[in-house]
Amino acid sequence: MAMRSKRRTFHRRKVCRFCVDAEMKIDYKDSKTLRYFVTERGKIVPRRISGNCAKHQRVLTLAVKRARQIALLPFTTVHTV
Amino acid sequence: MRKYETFFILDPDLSDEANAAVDEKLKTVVSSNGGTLLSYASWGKKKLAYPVKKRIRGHYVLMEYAGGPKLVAELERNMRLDERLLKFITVKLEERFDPEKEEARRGAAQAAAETEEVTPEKESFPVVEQEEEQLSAMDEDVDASEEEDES
Ligand SMILES: [Zn+2]
Repeated sequence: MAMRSKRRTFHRRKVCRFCVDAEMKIDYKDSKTLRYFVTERGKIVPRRISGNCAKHQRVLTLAVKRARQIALLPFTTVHTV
Repeated sequence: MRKYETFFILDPDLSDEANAAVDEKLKTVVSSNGGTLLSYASWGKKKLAYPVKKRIRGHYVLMEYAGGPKLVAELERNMRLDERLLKFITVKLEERFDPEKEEARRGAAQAAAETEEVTPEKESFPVVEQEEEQLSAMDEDVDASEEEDES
């Protein structure tokens, strides 16, 4: 479907997953789903990369922050002693 | 009356009796402060994303209830004082709690559960395995940190 641009080899599709699949709820307790939207260091993936729409990105961000509070997601994975 | 949920982490090494005592205590706090307990469910033991009070695992419990802000304050005060609790988060689910609506939801959930024959763990997350190469590349080693439930 989406064609690859020459310069940006990175993405292909830019649709909001939460808009496409109405079944997909954003819940801070659902760390499995949230993990798709954070990097391995625990940062929230920007929507220019994930393709989320603004509305869902806002909700997602809140959910990730709550998940961090309750230790379901890391704030960071790199600790300097 | 509002509807709230409190998701908290218990010390994973508690005995069954100790667990029951905490359950009892929290339920009492809710009922004695004019609240209605709607649900109280264990989510099992999970690895924590970072250590909390020197513990690397935790026993997650989700509790839903209706009540006023005073109740939340009192509940959180109790939780803060209790050594058996590692951490908690309270989220307001509804500004106005409607018992009838709750009843309807409960009925629907019940029906769904019966058709699906409940999975014991709350692992009914929508597993989204579609493509998303870019992200999964970043996330590859985001580990198997959860899962190992050994309740
Ligand atoms: Zn969307």
